[in-house]
Amino acid sequence: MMSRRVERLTCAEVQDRLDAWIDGDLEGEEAGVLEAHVERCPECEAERRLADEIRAGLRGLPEFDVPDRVIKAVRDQTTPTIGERARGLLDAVFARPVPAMAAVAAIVLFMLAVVPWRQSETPPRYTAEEVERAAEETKLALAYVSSITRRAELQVRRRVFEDGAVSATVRGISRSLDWTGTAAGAEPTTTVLPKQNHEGSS
Amino acid sequence: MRMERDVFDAAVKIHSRRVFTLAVYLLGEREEAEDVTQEVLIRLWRKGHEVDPERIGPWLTRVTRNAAIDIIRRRKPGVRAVMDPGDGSTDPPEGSPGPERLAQSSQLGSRLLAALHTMSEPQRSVVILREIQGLSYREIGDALEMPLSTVRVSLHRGRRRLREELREVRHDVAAC
Repeated sequence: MMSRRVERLTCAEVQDRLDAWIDGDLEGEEAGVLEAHVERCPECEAERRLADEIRAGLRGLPEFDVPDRVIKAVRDQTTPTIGERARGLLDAVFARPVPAMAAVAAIVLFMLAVVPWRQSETPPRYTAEEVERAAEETKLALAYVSSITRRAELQVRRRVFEDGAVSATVRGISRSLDWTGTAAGAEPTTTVLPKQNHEGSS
Repeated sequence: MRMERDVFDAAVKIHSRRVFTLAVYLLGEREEAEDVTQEVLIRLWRKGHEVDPERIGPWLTRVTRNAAIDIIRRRKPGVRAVMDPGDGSTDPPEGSPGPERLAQSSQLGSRLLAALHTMSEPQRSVVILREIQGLSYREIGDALEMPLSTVRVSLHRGRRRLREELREVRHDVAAC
C-alpha cells in the first residue's frame, strides 16, 4: 500500500528525487507517484526534461585519445638505460646468493681465459733490427743445443760400450735363459759386443 | 624495483585514454591534461609494482584526480580554463548525431563544461566519472576512496548544481 507521505510529495521533494528516479533507484511504487506528479505538474515536468537533457549532453561529450607525443615521452622515460639494465641484472643476480657466486665465478674465469687470448690476437710490432737480432740469438741457441746433444751422445756411447755398463744386465739375462750353454751354477761368461761393429754404425 | 614491462604496456593501452579524458574535463585545458597524463603514467611505471594489477584502473583515476587538483590549486585565483567540447576530439561517441543536432549538442556541451567548472570538489570529479565516463557508484567510491553514501550525495549535489546553472542560462537567453 502506498504511504501517505509519498502520495503527498511536494514539487521540491519530487525534484529532489528526480536523479534517483532517472537512475532507476526508486522502488516501483514511489516511481509511479513521481511519474504521476510530473505528468500533471508543468514545473516538475520542465525540471525532468532539463535533467534528461543534461544527462544526455554529458554522455554525448567525447573521450579523448592521448596524443602520440605524450605516449612517446612516456616510453622515452620508462625505457631503462644501459646502466639501469646492468643494475637490474645485478640486483636480480644478488637476490639469489648461491647462483650469484656461481655467476661471478663464471665471469671471472671467462675474463681470465678470454681477455689474455684476445690481447694476444693483436700482432706485436717489432723493428727489423729486433727481428734480425732475435734470429741470430735463435741460431746461436740452436747451435749450442746441438753441440750439447752431440757431446751427450758420445758420452753415453762410451759409458755403454767401452766401459761395459751393460755387462751386469747381460749377465743376469744370460743366466736366466742359460743362454751361455754352460751348466747351471757355472760362472757365466761376460759378453761384450765387438767394439768395431758399434763404432761403424755411428 | 619497477613494474613488469608487459603489464605496464597493457595498462597504458587500456587506461591511458580514460586518464587523459578525466584530466581534460577536470582541468578544462589540453596542455595541462597532457602533462598530467604523462606524469601519471610515469608514476605508474615507478610505483605500479605496489599496485594490485586488478586495481590499476581505480589507482590511475585517483592519482589523475589528485594531480589535476594540485594543478588547479596552483593556478592564479580567478583563472578558469574551459575548453571547447569539440576541441581535439578524435573519436566521436557511438551513434553520432547529425549536423543540426551536433550544433545544438555542441552548444549544450559548452554550457555543460562551463557549468562543470563552477562546481567544487568532489562533486565535479564524481559527475565526470559518473556521467561522462560511465563509472558505477561502486567504481567511483573505489577510485576516490569514498563511501557509497558520499558518492550519492556528491552526485546529487553536482547534478542539482548543473540544473541551476543551465536554468539560469535559459532564463538569460529567454530574457534576451
